[in-house]
Amino acid sequence: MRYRQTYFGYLWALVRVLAPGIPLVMVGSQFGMGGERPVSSYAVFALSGLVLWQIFWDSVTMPQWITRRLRRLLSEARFSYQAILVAATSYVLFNGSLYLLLIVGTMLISRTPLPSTAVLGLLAIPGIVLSGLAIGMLFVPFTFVYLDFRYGLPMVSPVLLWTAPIFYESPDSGFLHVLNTWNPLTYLVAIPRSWLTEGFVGNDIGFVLSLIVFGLIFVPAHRFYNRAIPIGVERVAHA
Amino acid sequence: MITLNNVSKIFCSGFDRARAYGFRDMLRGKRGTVPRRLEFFALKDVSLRVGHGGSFVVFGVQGSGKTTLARLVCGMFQPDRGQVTVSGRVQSPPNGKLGLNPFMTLAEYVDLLAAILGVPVANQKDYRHALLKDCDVEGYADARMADFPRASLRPLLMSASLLADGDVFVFDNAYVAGSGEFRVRCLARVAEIVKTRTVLILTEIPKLPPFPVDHAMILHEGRALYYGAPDRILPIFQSLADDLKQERDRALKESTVATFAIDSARGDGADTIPPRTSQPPSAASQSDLTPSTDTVVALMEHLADTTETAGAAMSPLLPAIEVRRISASNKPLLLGPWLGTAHWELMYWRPYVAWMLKQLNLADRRVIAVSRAGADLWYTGLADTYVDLLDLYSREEFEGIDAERIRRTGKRKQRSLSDMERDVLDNTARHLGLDEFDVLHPATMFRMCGEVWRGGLPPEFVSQYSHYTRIETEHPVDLDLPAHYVAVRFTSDPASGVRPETQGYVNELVQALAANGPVVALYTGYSIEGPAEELTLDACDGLISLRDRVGPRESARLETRVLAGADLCVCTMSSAVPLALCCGVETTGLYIAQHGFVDVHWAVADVIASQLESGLAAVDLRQVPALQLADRVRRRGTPLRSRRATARRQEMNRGGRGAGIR
Repeated sequence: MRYRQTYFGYLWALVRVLAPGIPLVMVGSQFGMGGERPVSSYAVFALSGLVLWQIFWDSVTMPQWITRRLRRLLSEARFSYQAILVAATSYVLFNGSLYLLLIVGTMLISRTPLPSTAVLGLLAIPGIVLSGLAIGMLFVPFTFVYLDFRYGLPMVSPVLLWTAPIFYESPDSGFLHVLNTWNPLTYLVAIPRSWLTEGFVGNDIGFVLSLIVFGLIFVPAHRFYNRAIPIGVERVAHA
Repeated sequence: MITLNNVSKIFCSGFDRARAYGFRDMLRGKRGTVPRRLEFFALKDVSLRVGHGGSFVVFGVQGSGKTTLARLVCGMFQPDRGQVTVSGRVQSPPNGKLGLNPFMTLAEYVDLLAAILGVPVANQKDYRHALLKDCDVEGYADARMADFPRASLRPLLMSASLLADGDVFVFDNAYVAGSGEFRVRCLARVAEIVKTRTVLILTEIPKLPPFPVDHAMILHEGRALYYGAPDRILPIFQSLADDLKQERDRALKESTVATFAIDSARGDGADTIPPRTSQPPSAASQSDLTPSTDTVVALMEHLADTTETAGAAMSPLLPAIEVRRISASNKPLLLGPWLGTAHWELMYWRPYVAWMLKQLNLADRRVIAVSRAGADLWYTGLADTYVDLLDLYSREEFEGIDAERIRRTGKRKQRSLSDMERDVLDNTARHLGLDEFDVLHPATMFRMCGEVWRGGLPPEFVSQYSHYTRIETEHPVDLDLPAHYVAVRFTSDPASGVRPETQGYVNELVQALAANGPVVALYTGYSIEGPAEELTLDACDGLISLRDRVGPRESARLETRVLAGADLCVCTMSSAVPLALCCGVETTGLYIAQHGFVDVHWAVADVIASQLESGLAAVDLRQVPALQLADRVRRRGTPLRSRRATARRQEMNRGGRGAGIR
């Protein structure tokens, strides 16, 4: 329904990744952000990282976006609030499948062979979505009363994007190295990206550990979501 | 089934303040139960009950809280206080656009409605077809909703809701939509739903729906004003709606005059505007936003003057009015006279009196209980003095007075203070040498309980106006009874479902109990059970009779003392149930769940049992053979006077669920 209101339709889903991705690939390859990689290989590296990041970030923001759209309906009809999460997940997975086509296309153009670990990379995507939902659920109820989080989150996006080695190889030392090492997003995005495009990286267990970290956030976040959403709905309905 | 038990909902009148409270409540994870600044009660202490397949109409003018009530029942709101219980799937025809998107086709929108209204996926195709046909818009199936005729949307949503299956239907402000044939079809469908489903109708139209409705209520400024039969409640609402309309017209006229005056002043060249006389919303206090009890009571008094049925209608504010009335004087207070059955006296009247006395704080006033047949032990700790009517009248005179009262009023229950009762009270006052007195008459209690007995209010409603206390008495060592015994009493009464044909069952049960230990039959020869008939017991070894041990004047006193000394009580629903529970005796109650059976008494007995920590197990005797029940009672029948009693009852209830134990 969202794309039916546009002229270019589903192309917009691809544009969301391509628009920031193409300049980054062009500039990043010039500055050697992909290490020893040639330009074609860097394009696969950067675009696949951006796609996985976008899946994570969509999972953070989508429940909020859907809730905002449904706020009037929520005050008119009773249905399970879990439907918002299901809808957000479906939406993210639908967009994610389009993004994946982009990765496949880039790999075909750059003649990058598909590693045997690609299946693991695909299986990691639901984990990335759940991690994003864990964060997203915390903000959903507040959109009923204040829009600060709605306006604030897009501003946080580029900051978070650059704290993980998505467009660049993590340096061996220095502040950025420390930041990358302690940032769970590094493992959540960089490791599945390697599985999808290159193969095992050595610290693959980091992905499982980061999933555990987000899983620990998910449980209380879901409890908070269930408890706080009815309060928010009542505020909308009475306003 | 729908049950609202003492439900309150708080809203905030200031938008920014409401957002701040909402943010705070989300972080705290709980709602405020007391109004904060700028908050007010949108609903206050509202109770109602709609049984399975029952119907209830709530009358209320705009802003009375109907939609809030509907949203609570639909589960869109959570109560800030009290409890809302709804069993089954709820359907409520929506008032808005319900998820409409102009880019959707009609078929897609119908599928969305089906999903929202909970139509199973397998039935969605049939549902879509039926809905489009019902609304006569099959030709629009592929049309965008932007092109769909706006006037057809409301009938579409109404039909969507009526065609979706539901156990409970809530109609907020409208139960019919559209015009012509569709309207007729819609009305017929609603009438069919009313027959088979649980229905709650909320309306501001002072007219009865064109189909039978069981119960009615008037909601005004968030409070339940009156409950009762729809035809008795409607005239009160019509009067209220007329009054409010006149008031609104008057206010409008005055404001027009005031505006004209300001405009005239400006026209005269004056540059000052008259000062505001009312406070701005931000300065309004909470009491300004929630009408006080005094305001509502004044309105009720006005309605009682203008509407014939209002004076006798049931209102949850009646006890508050009674408290105000009695508090306003300093005269001795007569409780009663109680002329009805001992069962109601112990289960409803005595707890109501105890609750009322707690509200009144009558430390320096004399309180006199007026009852009959030696009920003095029941009022110990409540009244300073007990007057037994069998001291003032002979048994025949007393029974004659009660029979004449029933004949004149046409009612066994004391729903109003009759002339006969006035005479009894005057006689009591003369006997005590009182020149003047106040009266706490059972009429209010009967009016309050009446709606619960009829099923329009949950049994818990009674508990709000009841204070349950133990009856303290000494062990009956002087009565020549064994140290341990089981007390029994069986009556046949349509309300408990027990009929005279049950005689054989109770005899078999008593003989089996008596074979294992002494059993005392609580029959003194003078029944204070009203119309309930005692089921006589065949004499057998181990069965001890109290018959003719005392005269009528002492019968209740004897029963109380014997019951208080028992290890266990086995009985049908009668005065023995509340009496045993008030004496802390574990009780097994028998009933038959059949037509006419009143479950409310058991629900109230359960509340008494849990509050006084006595044990109660209720058994449908058709489900458990007499010998099996006797065995169960014997095995669990050790003396229980401790907190374990309740736990034991719960255990019995759990263990016996399949065997008919409630």
